[in-house]
Amino acid sequence: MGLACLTLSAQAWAQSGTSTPAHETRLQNILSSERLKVCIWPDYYSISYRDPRSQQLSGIDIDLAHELAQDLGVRLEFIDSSFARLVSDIQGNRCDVAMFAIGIIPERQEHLSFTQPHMVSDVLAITTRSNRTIRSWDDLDQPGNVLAVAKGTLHEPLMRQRLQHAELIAPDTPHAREQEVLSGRADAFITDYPYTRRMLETTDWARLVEPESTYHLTYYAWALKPGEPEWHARLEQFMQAIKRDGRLLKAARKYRLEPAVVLE
Amino acid sequence: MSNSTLFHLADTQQGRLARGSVKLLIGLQVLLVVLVLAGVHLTSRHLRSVALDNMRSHAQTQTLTKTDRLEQNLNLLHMHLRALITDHPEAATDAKALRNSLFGLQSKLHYIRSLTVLEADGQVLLSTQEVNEGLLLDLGPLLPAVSPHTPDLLRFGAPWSGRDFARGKRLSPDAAGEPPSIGFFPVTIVLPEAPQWTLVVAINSDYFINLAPEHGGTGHLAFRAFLDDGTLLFSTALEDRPGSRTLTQGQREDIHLHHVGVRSWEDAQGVLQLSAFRTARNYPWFVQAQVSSDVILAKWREDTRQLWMISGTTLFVMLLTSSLLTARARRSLRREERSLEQNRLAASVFLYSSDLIIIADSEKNIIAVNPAYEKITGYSAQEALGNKHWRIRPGTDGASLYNNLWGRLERESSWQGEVTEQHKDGSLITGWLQVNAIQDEAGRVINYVGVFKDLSRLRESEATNRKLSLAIEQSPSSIVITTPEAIIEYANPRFLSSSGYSEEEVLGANPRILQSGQTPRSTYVDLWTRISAGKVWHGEFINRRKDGTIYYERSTISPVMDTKGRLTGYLGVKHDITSEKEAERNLRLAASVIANTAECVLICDADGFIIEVNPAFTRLTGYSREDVLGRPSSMLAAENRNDETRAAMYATLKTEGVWQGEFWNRRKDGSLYVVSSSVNLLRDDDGHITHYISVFSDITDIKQRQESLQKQAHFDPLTGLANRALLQERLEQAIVRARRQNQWCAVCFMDLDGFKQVNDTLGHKAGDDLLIIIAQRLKNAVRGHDTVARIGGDEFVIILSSLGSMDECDRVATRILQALAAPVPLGRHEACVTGSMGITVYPLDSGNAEQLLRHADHAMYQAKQSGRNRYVVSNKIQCDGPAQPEGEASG
Repeated sequence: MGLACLTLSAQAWAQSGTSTPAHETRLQNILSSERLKVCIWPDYYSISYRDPRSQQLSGIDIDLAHELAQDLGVRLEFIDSSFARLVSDIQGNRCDVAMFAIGIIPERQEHLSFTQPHMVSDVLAITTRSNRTIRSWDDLDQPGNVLAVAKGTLHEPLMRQRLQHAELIAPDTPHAREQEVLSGRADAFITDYPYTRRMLETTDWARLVEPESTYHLTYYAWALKPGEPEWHARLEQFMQAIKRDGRLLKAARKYRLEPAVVLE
Repeated sequence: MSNSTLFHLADTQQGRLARGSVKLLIGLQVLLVVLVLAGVHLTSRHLRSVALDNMRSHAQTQTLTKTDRLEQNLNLLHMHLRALITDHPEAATDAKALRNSLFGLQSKLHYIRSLTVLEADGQVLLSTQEVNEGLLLDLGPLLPAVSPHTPDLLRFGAPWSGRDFARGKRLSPDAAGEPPSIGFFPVTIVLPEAPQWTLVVAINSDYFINLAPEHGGTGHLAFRAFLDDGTLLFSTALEDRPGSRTLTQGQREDIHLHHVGVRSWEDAQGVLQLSAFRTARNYPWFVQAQVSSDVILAKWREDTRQLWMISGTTLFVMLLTSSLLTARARRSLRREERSLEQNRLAASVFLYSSDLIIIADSEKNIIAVNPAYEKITGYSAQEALGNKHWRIRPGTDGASLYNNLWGRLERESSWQGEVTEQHKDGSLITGWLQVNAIQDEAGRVINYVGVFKDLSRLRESEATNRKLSLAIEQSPSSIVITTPEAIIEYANPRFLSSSGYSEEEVLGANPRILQSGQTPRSTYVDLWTRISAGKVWHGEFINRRKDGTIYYERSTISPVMDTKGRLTGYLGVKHDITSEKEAERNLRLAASVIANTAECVLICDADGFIIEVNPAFTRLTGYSREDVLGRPSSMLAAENRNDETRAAMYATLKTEGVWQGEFWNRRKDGSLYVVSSSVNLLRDDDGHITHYISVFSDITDIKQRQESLQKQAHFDPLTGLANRALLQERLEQAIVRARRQNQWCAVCFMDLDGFKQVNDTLGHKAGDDLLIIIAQRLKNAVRGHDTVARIGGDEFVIILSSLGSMDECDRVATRILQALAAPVPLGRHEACVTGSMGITVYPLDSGNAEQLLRHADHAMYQAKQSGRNRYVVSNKIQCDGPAQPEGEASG
């Protein structure tokens, strides 16, 4: 897997090598400018979430971004992004690294380099408490049921491939897919572990539906522009450091993500 | 005495106190139980009402909240709907613009399932759910019930199942089956700006159901939204079926009348349901919250159960603890009581003890003495108290004994020994003194207690006991002592030796082990009858020894009573009388033999007086027993015929103890008889003669036969005189006697002169008569102890024994011849015969009998020749000279 990543990264770097000034690497640039730009998705609860009440950012990747900036000895700047804009934001150098638990999927690997994963999640579903038909994971893929996924997430292609009976709808935003469920136009929506935490902790109506055995594991990591081995190596060094020195586990504990954290 | 009273007083007070506190404690426990039970009950009732009140208030609040929320959402919907056209006027005419507005509105309000525009004829013009388009919708009656096209008014229809109109169905009140898994209810409005259309909003009922708390703090409230006509719009209870009408007419009227309230209604199952309701202010529906009282009270029941459990446990623990404490207190009180009782006992021991008790302080000063002190020593307590001198009184024991005593007490805590003290009157008291040093916990001596036991009387009693014990141990009689249950407690050695049992075997056993089965049953019955009545029994047993042999026992069995007359056991004194029994039997046998034997038995005492005779005696002698008892045995003798025999008998008995011989006796009727007697002599242990026993039988017949035979052998049948054989015998006896007595005996040989003539003339008969008369004359002429024999026709020999001199011989010879010479009358005749006699004398004639006869015969011939009727002394003797040897005299 690691070897495959490297190979892919090398290809990506070769393709997009011209877009980066050749005289100065990204790492040197970061250090010289004393500024680290980190792409986040501010709706990603417990990962990179902007609390609408206080407009403060919080989440495991926010904390780790601060750690990274501190390790590098530079200022930190968060750039709002999303899964839909991720590739273009990275390719367009809007940020040095995307830190919002990005699932490592082949579609993304075509355009992005990934660090070693720091989290992992299976596919999970959220339905309403009052829903009478969906009681277990097996109830999901039944005729007459409507399931929602957010467009552009890793779940969309996965569920299109897996579902056989249920109807799949893909609203543009994660918020829209919740609305479909709330209004009764859909029975459940598909998401990952961190998002289910948000739903269960912040709404009264959400109910978790888990697969009884592993359905599809997805590893989460940080994404960067391919072809920047020095920067990539520095990020990997940081990743290994936080896994080793307990900063990752500490941050995971803080946001109750221990079940999803990858320490090896 | 005052001491013991004091003790009693303290005792009873203590007892009362103990009982009082126990009662008090039990009372308190009962009170506690009652209070706790009452408290728990009241608390439980209170909690029940609190639970109901809380739920009532909670239900009311929740109803208000839910109603407000639903109403506000509908107000918001109303506002947005109103704004549809006013904000986008082009939408009133442009279907595309209208569709965009509808989607915009749908994305704003999450409870909107879909928005649909109906044309006047009810056909769907457009819908956010495209499948609905073109449908002809029948929403049924709508509330409020006004003209169908009244503008700007939200109207509500019956609920539908399904995701949208196209795939759903209006739910009727009487439909049955499972509640639909998904549904909605329609709300319509006619906008004043576009009165040609009716806008239908499908409201997602689940959205409002999800807003209800899943598990509210007071739990399980079921929320229902009803249209005013009683149609259920939606319910949080899964089992409720939207579209149904579950409320009664009365309940609906109540709700419409009061708008807000809480009621307790019984449901179809009779369970009391708490029901809160509130009507919407502006719309034709109301919200009802309902919960079963069972559910409300479930928590209360659980709490009450726990309360009871905790109270019960607490009560139990408290009761247990207090009971244990009570029990402990009672135990300690009892201990105190016991201790007091012991003190009281100790005091009474001190007061009433027959032993002298002295208590001294650590300095050995007497501080207390008991009444026995005064009795034993003669000194009063006042005289003793404060006496620095520990000793009772100086007696015979020296100071060394007391030095030894105190010395010992310093090392050990007690001393005991025998001491002799002196009574006030000077007499000596011997006793056993034990002195104990009483120490406190630190080991310091605080008191000395001396107990003196006066052994003087005990010693005497001991000596007596020892004596009695020895006597019993060594008694020749068997002595056995049993318990009142007849279990052997003691048996003396004699008992053991006579029964053959060991001590281990008899102790604890019943005397019946000795029973042989031969003792008559009545003996035992009599025994128990008597001793049960407290009397003494005498009798005999036939018992069996261990080795199986039978023995006879004479027993005296008596109950043993203690001083209070209570039975403590039985005493048996027994003699083995087996040998007596045997002797008695033998005696009886002997007596029977004696009584039945054919031989006469005569028993005399040492002096010869008759003391016993047997029946055979009476038969023989004719004397009855009474005739002879106490009389001398010689009374039986015939005159003095036995004198010589008797003398010989006594002589023989003296030396040999046994004599056999014959007696001549006379019967009571005077007849003579002769017995063969065997006499035994009995002596006592000292050798003194005690009895003579004579056994004899009548031998008269035998004797007479013997005499007759003897006569025929020794006597001349005609004259009765001795014949030649007897003469020979007598002569030899006479020679022996003469020699022994140093006397002479003479042999006179005589022949009758003239007998032949008589015999020839008068006949043989006359000759025989003559011979008989001559024989009688000869007998009469000689002395008693002389012998006359006829040895031939007319030849006679006369032996004169015990002659003192020749003269005596001459006189007898002369007398004989004279007697013969007298005429002999023979019938009518008379004959005259004389005698010629030759005489020789022993030992002057020293020949033997034959020689003497020959010599005498020879001398007779000389007399014949010398002229007859005379006697001639043999020339073999020298009449007046001394005796000469025969050979020389005849030679």
